[in-house]
Amino acid sequence: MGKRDGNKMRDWHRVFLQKVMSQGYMSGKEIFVFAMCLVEKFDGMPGFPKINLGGAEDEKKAELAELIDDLYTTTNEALEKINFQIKRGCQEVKEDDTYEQCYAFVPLEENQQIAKCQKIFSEQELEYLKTICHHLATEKIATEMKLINLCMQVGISANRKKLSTIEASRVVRSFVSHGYLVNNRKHSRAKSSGGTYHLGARLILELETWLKDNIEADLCRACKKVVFVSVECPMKNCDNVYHRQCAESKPKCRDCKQPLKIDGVATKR
Amino acid sequence: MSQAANLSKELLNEYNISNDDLQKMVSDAVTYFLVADQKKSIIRKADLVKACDLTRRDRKLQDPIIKLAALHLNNIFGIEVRDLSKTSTYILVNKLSEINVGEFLNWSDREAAHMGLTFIILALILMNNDRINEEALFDFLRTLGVYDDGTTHIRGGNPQIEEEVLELFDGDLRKFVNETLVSRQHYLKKERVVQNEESEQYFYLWGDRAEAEVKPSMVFKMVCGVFKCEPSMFKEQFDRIRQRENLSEEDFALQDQSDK
Repeated sequence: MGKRDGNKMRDWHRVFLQKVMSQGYMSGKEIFVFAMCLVEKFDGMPGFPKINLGGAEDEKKAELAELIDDLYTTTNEALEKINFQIKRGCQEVKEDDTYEQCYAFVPLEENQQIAKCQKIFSEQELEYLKTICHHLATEKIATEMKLINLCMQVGISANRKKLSTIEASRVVRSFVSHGYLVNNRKHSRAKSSGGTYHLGARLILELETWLKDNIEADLCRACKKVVFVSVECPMKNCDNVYHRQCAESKPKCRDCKQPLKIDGVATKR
Repeated sequence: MSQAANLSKELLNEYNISNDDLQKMVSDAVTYFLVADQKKSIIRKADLVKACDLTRRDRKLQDPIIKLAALHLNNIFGIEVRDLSKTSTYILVNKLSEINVGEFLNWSDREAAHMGLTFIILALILMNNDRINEEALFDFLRTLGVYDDGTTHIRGGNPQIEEEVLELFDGDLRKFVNETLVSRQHYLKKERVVQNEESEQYFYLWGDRAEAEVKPSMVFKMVCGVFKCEPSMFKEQFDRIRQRENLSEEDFALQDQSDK
């Protein structure tokens, strides 16, 4: 693939940006498929890298990965000037043997007045989401029933109207469809009650600043980012915790060198 | 150095503000534009200035900050901020529509329904010599099966509108046309014509947003496609549109081929 075009935003970078913005977040697989669509659209245009979609599979994947990297890096260099980023992270729990990657379009600073204009969720629903965050910061995962029962703690309007359990159930499904929560139905202990829920990568990426300021969340010793579904170092006096993915890539504690055990879905404190 | 970089440098020198301060003001303006445009409302300068807390700054900063935000939106997002002038209001126009970015973007069922109906109404107005009276518009929507004012059965039609369709327009299509398309989004314009002391009529025309976002030739081609006929079959409209967009017949044919 050719050299990057001097960090300059081109139409394919803008299409990439608009695509991530319009969806709110995209998985790594979706980005990969989208990159192939971009190749079909822009192939032959001046400055667009040459990628042979009909070539050998490994070579194609490598070239597409390089294109995605260019889209991600060039777009973020431009977005940095106006306090935005496309953030990239991974789900904390495996789905089909992989930690699914996630891309989210995120403002780096929050303007409260502007945030109030956003109409994806109502203020009540956002408060419910934050209540769920507090709960999952401690419990790591929860059943649907447990999450729905948390709605009793929510109520900010003048008449103290709380979300009903039916509304809460609908809102939880909405959080899942938007990628803020993940429903892991494969968790064996809770299969019959609809699986378990944990915080989605999108939420962790978008609310990174808020989570650090408002929730006593752990930081992964390996990557230094917020972690909820964590693996603890088994050593008695070692408080280190790790993302499951970080622990799998190097299964020894970075400080005390004890082997890290990754059993089940999550390890409670 | 880019236009945005030059303007930033000028502002930093002239107004004695820090780079962080300037970046925050511009970033807030960009965010406001993007969020306000989600609803496709007209963006008022006064609302933007208030939301971005520019009221407590030197008033002369307001216009350059908005201009800088517009430059970034254009360069980074491919979105043009169009000043509707006279009224200090703006709309955002997606310049990537020229390369059919829509095929990549996600639309909810509701958004798709709204855009679909908007396009149909714009086509109706275009083919009716750029204006249509209120009665004719809603008669047309009635025959489409999306509108019923309680008289459909009297006219021999089927008053049953599917529940799903009604829901997409919040149960009131007349309100959708007048409040959403005319008042809020400016896809349509509504004019009152007083004919005599006792009668007045309302006409619908293309609004400012439609004029900015939609090419009449594109709408016209869609209509020809629906009727499976050559553009010249609608000679009057064909000539008017070619004149408006300064296209010869050959240009029109070439444009049509490249769209395919």
